[in-house]
Parts: sequence; structure tokens; C-alpha cells
Amino acid sequence: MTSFLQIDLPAMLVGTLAALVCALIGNFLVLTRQSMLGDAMGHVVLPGIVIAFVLAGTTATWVMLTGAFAAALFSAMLVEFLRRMAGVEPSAALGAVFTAMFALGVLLLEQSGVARTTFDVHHILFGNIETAIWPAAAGIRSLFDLAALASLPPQLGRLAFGLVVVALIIVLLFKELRVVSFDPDFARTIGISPRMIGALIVSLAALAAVVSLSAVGVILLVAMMVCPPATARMLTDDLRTQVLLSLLFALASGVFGYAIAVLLPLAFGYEISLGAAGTIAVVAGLFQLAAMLFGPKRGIPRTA
Amino acid sequence: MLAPFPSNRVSSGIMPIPPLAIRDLSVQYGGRTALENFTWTAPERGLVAIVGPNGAGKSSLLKAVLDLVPKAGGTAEIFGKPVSEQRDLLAYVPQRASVDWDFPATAADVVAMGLYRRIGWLKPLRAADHVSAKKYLDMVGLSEFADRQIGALSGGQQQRVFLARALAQAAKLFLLDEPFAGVDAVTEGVMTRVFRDLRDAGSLVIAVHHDLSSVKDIFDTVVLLNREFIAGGPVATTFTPDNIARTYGVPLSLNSGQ
Repeated sequence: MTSFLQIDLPAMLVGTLAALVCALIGNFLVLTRQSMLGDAMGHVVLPGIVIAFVLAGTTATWVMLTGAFAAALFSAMLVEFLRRMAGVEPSAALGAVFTAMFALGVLLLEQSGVARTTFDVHHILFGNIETAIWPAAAGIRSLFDLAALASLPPQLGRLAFGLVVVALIIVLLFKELRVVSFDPDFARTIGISPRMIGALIVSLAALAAVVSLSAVGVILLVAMMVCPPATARMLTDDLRTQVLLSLLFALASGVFGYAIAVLLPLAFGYEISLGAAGTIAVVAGLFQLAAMLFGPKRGIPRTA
Repeated sequence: MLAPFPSNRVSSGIMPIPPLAIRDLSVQYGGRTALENFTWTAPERGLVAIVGPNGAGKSSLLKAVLDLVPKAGGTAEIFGKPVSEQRDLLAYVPQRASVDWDFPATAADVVAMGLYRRIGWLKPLRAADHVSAKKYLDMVGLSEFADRQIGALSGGQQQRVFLARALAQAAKLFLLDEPFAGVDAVTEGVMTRVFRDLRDAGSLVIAVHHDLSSVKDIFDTVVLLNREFIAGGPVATTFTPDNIARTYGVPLSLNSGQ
């Protein structure tokens, strides 16, 4: 029990919360056909985080968020500039900016020396759920012990903060997000600015990316943002139901994905465990495959 | 001396403010001019067809009036004020092909969007709004399709959903982009009837229209354009073979359709 609380519970929570926050904003990325924007956000926040750390000398949440947002904002402006001023095709502009920003981030990481002390490139790429541990846990009573709870891994606080902010904004602006995603020209004529709502979606994607980056990593971020909403989309034609189902799939991916990472190697007699970020993404992908094959609304059987 | 009476009428405000007054409007995309120095003042009420060949700037005209594309020059006033101050008075129906009909929404969901401005920012839809949306769907003959996913509707039904959304806005000025494009006969009949009801209630309906053969049957006013204003006025006196030839650049038989 104690080892479950010390090692498995915090890691499972981190993986699951990351899946939830990514899936939530992912719904609107998928609907506005900007799935790759989630991927882009994961890449562009890296130089922002590194620069913020070098300047401020701390990995405090607000420092990381500020750096990530500055980088996301700068990248979004750069994409707009390339698109409008230089006439570059939008997805090409996005591709050029996010790979260049990521390369800059890796360069800064290596040059500033923080790659060996604070950030691990391998973890940034592939995620690292397993370092989320709770050494203070000593049995079930720790769950009700404020002193012990205070030593929960800091990632959890960041993820919970991100999830609350994203959920609150989506609940409050649900109909504005819906009309802009469906018919931006009409939205503008009723005084709801698609540019403003679009900037909000980008900001929330950046927030989701920065709070979950340390857990799922840059490469798997897009899987967490796209798979649960795309799976839910195949099962319903109602936007609200889609968002709720996507959270259910994210939750299931987090829990089962982590369980598989821990239990599958044991079943085959190996001492090591799999990277949970990878198994969570694989489970999310399997849900989508199942929905494509067996889903009532959108699946292959109906359209074939 | 001139009789003072007519000028008194003007200064005392009996002369109505036109629903739409466009002066010297120009639209450019990149270096290409889509519309140049377009000037036209709409009648107080009625059904107006905007007619011209492909690429004549018909959609650009509507979009520039609505601030959806930037104006390269000129002004457009809705009841005497800029569009940003008159959003409550207008309803816009974009081209059907401009949105993704695979979107997770029912017909009632889309119609309810016409109520969003009155509901206000941050506030959720309530049960009464859903009832209201169904009422507008009923007006276009789609009450039994309220809970149907929009992608499962026919093209004509989708166009009627857009019309119901515009009705839900309770506007005085309706701007529609190609509402009759690719619709069935039932939809054409419903739309013509709804347009006439709106006109009789004192509204102005302006529609980009592509089918020359039906202009006389549906509309009472016509505006002919081809990157610039060619002619505008009552269909009976303006929609002449001569003006049509000037608009399309070649003599065109009215019966050939488009």
C-alpha cells in the first residue's frame, strides 16, 4: 500500500491529469482543424521554458508559464507574419516556426548547461511520469495528512491548476467557442471575434502543453490532444457529449496506460517497467481504433 | 418661391434612414481589385437581388459591408451608423459551402446561434432558447428535423437551417450569400415565402443571386455589378437586356438561365 501511494498513485495522477487537460482543449483544436497546433505548442514552449529558467534561475510554475506563454505568443505572431507578409501557406508557416523554435530550445538547453542539471532532453521528448513520487506517503492515512499532502510532486499542482483554468474557460465560453468553431464569419457578424476566440484557444493549448510537458513529453503531447476528442467525435453528434466523452477516454487512457506500463513487464517476468507516457498514448490510440471500427456514428462500417 | 413642405419633411426626420448606404466602396485581395468605387443606397424595404458574373465581387460586397474583409476604401452604413454599432439590426447568411457540415451540432443547435447575441457573453443556453429555436425551425418547415445532425440534412434543408438562424436574430436587414444555390424546389418555395413575409413586416432582404431566370419571380429590386456598380433599381425598369448585357459583357438571353 505504501509503495503504491509513494510511487504509483502520484505517477498515475500526473499521467491522467495531463491526459485530461490536453483532451479538453484538444476538442476545439480538432474541431477547428488545428490538431497540429497542439504539437506546435509543445515544441515552441521549450525555448521559452529554458530562457525563463536561465533568466530567473527557478522552475517555479509562474516562471515556466510566463516563459512558455511568451514563446507561444511570439510563435503565433511569427506564423501570422509569415502567412500575411510573406504569403507562406499556413501549415508550412506553422511547420517552419515550430521546428525552428524547438531547435532553438534544444540549442539553448545544450549551450546553457541546464540539460545536465535541470532538464533532460530525453524527458522533454518522451515525457517522464515516473519521477513523480510522494516519499512522504506512509499508509492510507497520508491521504488525509496535510503535511504529507504538501509534499506531493509539484507537477500535480501545476496540472490541477491548468485543468481548472482550461475547464473554467471552456464552460464559461462554451457557446462562443461553438459558434466560432462552426461558422467564424457568422460569429463575427454577431460581435464574437473569431480572432479573439482563436487566440484564446491557442493560449489554452499553450497552457495545456506547458503543464503536461514534463509528464507526457513533446512527441506524445499531440496524441493526448487529438486521440480522446477524435475518439469521442466518432461516438456522438453533440458537442457537449463529445467533450465529456473525451474526458472519459482521457481518464481511462491515463489509468489503464499507467497500469499496463507497470503490470505488463511484471507479467512477462521483467524487473523494469515501460515508460507510462508511451503506454498512455498507445491506449488512447487503441480507443480511437476501436471507435473507428465499432463506433455507431462515424466508423468505417457506416461510411464503407 | 419653392414650397417649404417637402424640405420640412426631410428635416423633421420623416425621410427614413436607409437600411444600407454604400459609398465608394472598394475591396482588394493582395493586389487584385474585387470591387471598385461601389456606391448604392438600398430602398427602405423589399427584396433585392445582387446579380453579376462569377468573380464580379458580389460576395466581397456583402463581406466588406459586414467588416468580414477589409475595405480598401469607402464606407458602408447600416441605418446610418457603422456596422459595429448595428449588429442587433442585421442577420447574415454565409454561403452554405463556407462551413463544415460535419460539425457536431443539430439543426436546433445551429438555429440557436441566432439567439447568442441576445443571450449575451458567458451565459449558457436555457430551455426556453431551445423551444425558441424549434419555433424558427417550424417557420422553415423543419420542425421534425430539430434533433437531426446537420450533416444528415439535404443541401436545401441545410440552407433552410441557415435561414431559420437568421430569423432567430429578429433583424431588420438580412444579407444572404447565394441562398438559392443548389436548393430543391421545396426549399426555394419556403425561402420565397419567408422573404415575402419579411418584406411585408418591413424588413429589407438583400441576396446575392446567380440565377437570372428567377430574378423577376422572387425579387422586386435588382443591383447589377461587375467589379463596379452597373445599375440598380426596380426589377421592372432595371433588369433590362441592355443592362444585363452591360453587366455580363455579352448579350445574354434571359431564358438561357445560368
